[in-house]
Amino acid sequence: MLNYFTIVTIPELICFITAAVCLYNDKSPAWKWLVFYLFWVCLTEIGGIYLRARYGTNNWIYNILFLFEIATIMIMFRAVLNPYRNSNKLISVAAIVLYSVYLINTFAKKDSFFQHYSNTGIALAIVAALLSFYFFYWFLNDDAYVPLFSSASFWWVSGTLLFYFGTTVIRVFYDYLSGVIPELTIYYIYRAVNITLYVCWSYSFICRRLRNPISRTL
Amino acid sequence: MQATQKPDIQDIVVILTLLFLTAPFFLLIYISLFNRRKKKHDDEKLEMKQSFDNEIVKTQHEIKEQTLQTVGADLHDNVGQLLSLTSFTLKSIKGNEPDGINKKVDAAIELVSRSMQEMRQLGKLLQGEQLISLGLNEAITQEVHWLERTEQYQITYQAQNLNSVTANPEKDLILFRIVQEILNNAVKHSRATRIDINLLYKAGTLQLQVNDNGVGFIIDPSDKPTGMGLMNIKNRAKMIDGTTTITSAPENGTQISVFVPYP
Repeated sequence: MLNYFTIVTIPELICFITAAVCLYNDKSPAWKWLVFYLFWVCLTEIGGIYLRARYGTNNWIYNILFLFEIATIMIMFRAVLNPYRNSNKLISVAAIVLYSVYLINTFAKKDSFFQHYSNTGIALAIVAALLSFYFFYWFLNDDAYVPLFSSASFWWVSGTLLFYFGTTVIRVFYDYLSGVIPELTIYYIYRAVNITLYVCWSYSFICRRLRNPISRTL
Repeated sequence: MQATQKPDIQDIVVILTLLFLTAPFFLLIYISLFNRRKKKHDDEKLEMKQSFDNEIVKTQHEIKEQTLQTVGADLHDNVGQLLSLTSFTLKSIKGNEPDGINKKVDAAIELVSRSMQEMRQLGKLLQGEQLISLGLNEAITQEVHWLERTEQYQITYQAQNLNSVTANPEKDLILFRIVQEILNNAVKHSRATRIDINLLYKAGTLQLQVNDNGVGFIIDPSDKPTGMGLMNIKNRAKMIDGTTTITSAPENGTQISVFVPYP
């Protein structure tokens, strides 16, 4: 029997359950969307394990996940940036750039759909990191004091920055790195950053829930 | 001889990876520290606002107290005396002196009418406390009228360009109290006989200048205000972001200028 509970899937499942519990009744469609996205992530991971065991390759299922990942990052950054500054144009431009890279990846070669879209991953990491810096720039410039421990936006963007900025070099220079560091070490570094992402996101969902408690009507 | 070895691209990539992995943590620490500073700043602002609000309440109370003191003193010194005199005059009427009756009644009527005039003035002064709501100019005008009626002081008051600016009631209240303090000092301590008050609005600044011809005093070279009254004037002006300059010399009078950003 295949082991579906791995170092990759367990943090994702926990994050999905936290999102489902904390955000199912959230007022913001952007935060609510995260429940669906994380559900899709879990499905992709489980499907990926199955496909790899059965066919030896599972790249295409992760390539489909990229479509949702790009959408999620864009939707969420729009939601967290708009209280500080209207960033609809910026987000639209970023989305166009990322989906263009995705299309180029898809139609680059005949069978490219079955190969990993590394360029899309790199572009997404760079854009997400830049948007995180942009958020923190406005966050710092804002006069109002925000208690960090209970700020959902802060923790969501922190997780995003730690993951995407932290893994940018690994994604870009994977070939060089694998020549120096054992691949297993790179894998564990990547997973550690991945777990950090889901810990930060889960905490942000809890902050979100505590800020918007569900009204208890008798 | 040993050749300098260039760093390998792989080493650079490893260093870059470590940098990229750790840099966000430092950024988050910086944001956390900056945010704490923001909170401290917010707390300070709140504290300053509370202190300002307390000062406004204190000032309102002081203005009321000063008005009541003046009214009390006037009732005792003027109205009380006039009514005593009226009573004495009426008591002195004797039935067996018909010629003197009319004279004494006329005198009593005159005294009662003066008492009524005094009472009217007192009424205006009591109203004057509420006049601050009608503007600083109105309140100062009333204060000046009250001092003038004693006929012991020659007072001039000029206000310029005040109509061109929207009033700031909180600053007006503080400024009015400053005017009261200065006049109080001029009358009680300086023994001035002439007081000139100028109130001028120019380029976002309200300038209040009060000159008197009193005994004056030696200014402390360290620029520390010598009495409680002067210290109050400086502190109050500072509270509304204003500055105060005091010029004085023995037997040469005192000049006090207050500059306040307005409105």
